[in-house]
Amino acid sequence: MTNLPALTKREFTAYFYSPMAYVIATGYLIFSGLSFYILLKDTRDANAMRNLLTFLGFIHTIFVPMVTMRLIAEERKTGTLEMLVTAPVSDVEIAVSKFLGALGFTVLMIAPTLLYTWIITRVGGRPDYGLVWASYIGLVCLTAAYISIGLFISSTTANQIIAAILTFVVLFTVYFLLGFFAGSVRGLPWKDTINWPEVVTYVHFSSHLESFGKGLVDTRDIVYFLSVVGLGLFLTVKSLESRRWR
Amino acid sequence: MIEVRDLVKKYAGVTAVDRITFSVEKGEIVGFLGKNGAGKSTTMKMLSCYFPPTAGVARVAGFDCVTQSMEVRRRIGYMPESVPLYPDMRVEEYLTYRARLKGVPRRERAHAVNEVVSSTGLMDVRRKLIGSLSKGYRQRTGLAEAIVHKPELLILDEPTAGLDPGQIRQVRELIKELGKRTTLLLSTHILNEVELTATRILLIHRGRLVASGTPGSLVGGHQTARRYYLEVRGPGDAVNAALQAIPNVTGLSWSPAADWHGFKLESVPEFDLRAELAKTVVGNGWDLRELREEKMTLEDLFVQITRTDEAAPGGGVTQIRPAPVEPAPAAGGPA
Repeated sequence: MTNLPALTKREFTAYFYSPMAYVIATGYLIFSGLSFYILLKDTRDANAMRNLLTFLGFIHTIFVPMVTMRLIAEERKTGTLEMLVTAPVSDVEIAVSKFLGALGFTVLMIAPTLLYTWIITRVGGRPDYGLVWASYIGLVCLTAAYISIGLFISSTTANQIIAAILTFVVLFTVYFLLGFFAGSVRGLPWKDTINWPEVVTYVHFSSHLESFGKGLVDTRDIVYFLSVVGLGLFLTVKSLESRRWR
Repeated sequence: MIEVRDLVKKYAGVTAVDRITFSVEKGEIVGFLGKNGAGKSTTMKMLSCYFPPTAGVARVAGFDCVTQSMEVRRRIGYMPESVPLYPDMRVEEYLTYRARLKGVPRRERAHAVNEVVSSTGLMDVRRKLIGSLSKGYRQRTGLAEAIVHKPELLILDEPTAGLDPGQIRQVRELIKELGKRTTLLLSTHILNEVELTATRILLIHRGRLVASGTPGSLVGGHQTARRYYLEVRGPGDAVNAALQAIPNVTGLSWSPAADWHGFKLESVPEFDLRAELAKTVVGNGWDLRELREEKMTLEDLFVQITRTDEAAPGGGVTQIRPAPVEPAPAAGGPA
C-alpha cells in the first residue's frame, strides 16, 4: 500500500486537469441549489435540510456516474492501463486509489451545499446541526457506495459513455426503482423461506438513508454502505485481474 | 536475465505464441524480429507481466513472471508499442510520478528525473503538457519513463514505429546508448534496425521461434549456396558453357545482352569460386567488367523464412538450385 498516496493524488488531481470536472461540479451545484430553493420555498421549514438529503441522493445517481465513468474506462481506451498494471503497484492499490480520488472529488463537490444551512439561518430558521451532520454522513456513505459501483462498471468497458449510462441505470434502480418493487415481489420462488419484500427493502439504498435523515447515525446503515463499497472494490480488483485469465 | 521456456499464449482459440524457448544474457541487446502479428508484442507483454502465459515459464532476473510479478515489474522498464502516456500531465510531472510508483526513493527522484530528461533530450519540453508534444517527443518521454528507475531489463516494443527518419536515427542512437548500461529486448519489423542495434536476433514467425543468432551467423547458417554476379563481354553461348563447366557451380542463369552479358551463378557454400571464375573468363580472352559475390542479407533470410509455409516460392534466378542446370536459353532475350 506504499503507492496509495501517490496513486490517489494522481487520481484526485486528474479531475482538475480536465474541464469535465468543472462542468459536472457546476451542473451539480445548479441542481442541488434548485432543489434546496424549491424545498425551502414550499415548506418554509428550517429543516428543509432533511428532505434535501433525499433529493441529493437522487441527484447523485445522475452526477456520480459522470464522475466515475472515466476512472478505468479512459485508461483502458488510451492504453495507459497497461502502463499502470505493469508498474510495481498492486491491483488493490489501483482500485482503492481510484475510489479515493473520486470520493475526494465528490466530497469537494458536495461541500458548498453546506452553505445552505447558513442560508436557513438567514431566513430565520434554526437548523438542527446534529441532523445536518448526520445527513451529510449519510450522503457521503451513499455516495461512496455509488462510486464503488461506478468504478466497477468503468472497469468493465473502454467506453466512458457506456460506463456512465450503465452506472446510472444501476444506481437509479437501486436507489429509486426498488422502492416500487418491494410490494410486488411476494410471489417469487422460495417465498416461504425468504421474505422477499424485506430483502428488496434491505438492498434498496433509500431505506438506509432514513435514519440519517432523522439525525440518527446507525451503525447498521454504515455497515451496509461499507459492505457495498467493499463489494464494488472487490469486483473492480477482479475485473482488473481478469486480463490474467481472459 | 530472461529465461523463457515453452511459452504459449492463446487468445480465444488463436495461438499467438507457440512454445517459444529462448534466453537472454545480461548485457545483451536482443532484437525481436517478425512480421506484424507474429507474436512479438504478445511475448513482450508476458515478460512485462501484463498478462500471464497460457503455458510455459517466463523468468526475468530469476523471478517468475506469474508468481513473482512484483519483483519482475520492479526490475524492468517497458514501453508498449502505442507509448501510452497521460496527455494531461507535464513531462517532468509524469516522470516524477512514474519514478515514485517504480520505487525511486524520494531523495533520488529529482535527480533521476533530471538525468533521464537530459539523456533523452527532453530538456526543452520538460514543462510542456504531454498531450501537446510531437510524436518524436512522446516517444522519448516513453523511453525516459522506461529508464527512470534504472531497470535491469528494458523491453521496448517497436520503439521507432511512426517516427520520421531523423527521429528514428535519434531514437536508435539513444537505444544504443542505453544498451551499454542495461539488457535490452526490442522488437521491430524494420530489418536494418536490428542489424544496426542488436547483438543478437530472435526471428519469430507465426508464434514460433524460427531462428536465433547474431545477424552474421544467422545469415551464414541459412546460406545454402554462394551467389555471384559477373558481367562478361564475349560470345554468350561459349561463356555460358565455359562457366558451367567449372566444378562446384550448381546453378547459372544468363541474361543475354548485345554487348555485356550478365551471369548469375550459384555454387556450393564451402568454396569461394571468384578466382576460378575470373581465371576462366580472362583465360579465354573474354573481357571481365564486374565480378562480385552477392551476400545474403537479413532481408533475404527474413523473406525466405517467413514465406516457407505460404505458397510455393516465386521463381527467381536464385532458385535454380539442383546441380544439373539447364543453360538458360537465349529465347525471348533481346539478343
